[in-house]
Amino acid sequence: MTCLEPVGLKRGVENRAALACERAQTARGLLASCHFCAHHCGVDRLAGERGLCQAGAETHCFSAQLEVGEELELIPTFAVALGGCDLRCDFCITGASSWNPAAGAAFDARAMAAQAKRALAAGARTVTLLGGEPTIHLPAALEFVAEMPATAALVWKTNAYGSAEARALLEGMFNIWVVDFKFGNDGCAQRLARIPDYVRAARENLVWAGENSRLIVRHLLMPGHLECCWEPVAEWLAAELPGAKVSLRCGFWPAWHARRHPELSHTPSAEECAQAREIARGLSLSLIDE
Amino acid sequence: MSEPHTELLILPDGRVLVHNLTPAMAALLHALDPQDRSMIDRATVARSRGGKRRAQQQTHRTSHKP
Repeated sequence: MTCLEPVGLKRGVENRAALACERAQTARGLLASCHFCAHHCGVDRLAGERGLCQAGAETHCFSAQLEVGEELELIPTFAVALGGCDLRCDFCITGASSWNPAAGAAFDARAMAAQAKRALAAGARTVTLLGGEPTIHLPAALEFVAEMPATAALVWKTNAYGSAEARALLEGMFNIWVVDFKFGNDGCAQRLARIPDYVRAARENLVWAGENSRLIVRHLLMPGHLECCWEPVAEWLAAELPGAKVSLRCGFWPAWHARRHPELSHTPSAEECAQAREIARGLSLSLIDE
Repeated sequence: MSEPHTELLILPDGRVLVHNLTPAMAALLHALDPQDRSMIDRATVARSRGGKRRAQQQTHRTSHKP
């Protein structure tokens, strides 16, 4: 994709499109030694090498539609889902597409932006980029931002496993970050998503997102993970991001390979959901969409 | 391109879990259970903002994470 070079314009969100265009080119070059996420594989995706996410230089999109299931302040949102992910959550609701960076159609940033702009004109409040995990597709994501007007409210929905390099490229690009804080400890992260050093990376991303954008922290309550995952997540949020909006989601269902883990073979009980909300209230978290 | 797509899971106790909720499905679920608080808000938003003109938008195959 080509886009106009920024000329004589002040850098910042007011100049988002031009800055995104410049950064997209930088990001594409960085594919030669990919460090977009905390796996830090360092593979040359331009030369056909593949890291843990299996993504190459191309980006695919497996979903793009108007949705109203996200947080109320975001909807209706035009949700654009990119194939491929750097996590391997066995309970992923879109595992077939999220684990496969070739899922869907080749992503054309300009054409997708045209769709998104039509959705905004028709009444959509926001445009959300998600996955899989969009961080592994930074060049395409930034090309998309470069095509969007400065007035568009853009949402970055991420698993919080991005690297400092990725965050530097994303600074000022998205108005709102919706960050999934999935696991409360590294043991569960490793066992359920095969992801090392998760908690440190997630916290680092959350703090950064809280300082650099509007932030909504999401947690999908998993059955049997109230004490090991939700409670430490909630306690950390209360201590470190006390004003953050928290979206506690109780809609887990045993999708994809969830049944590999006995505790994930059913939905959370009503009691677990009630207890989770009680924990949040006890810590004075700012729960939204209750 | 295909039609908008929502996934539903209907539980034995009658609860309905939804992913990728489209405006049309929000309106349908609201009609089926007008007392469902969460769907009231979503159906209202769908009706007032994007839903009425959703037919203008093209879609890929759908589905994404909760």
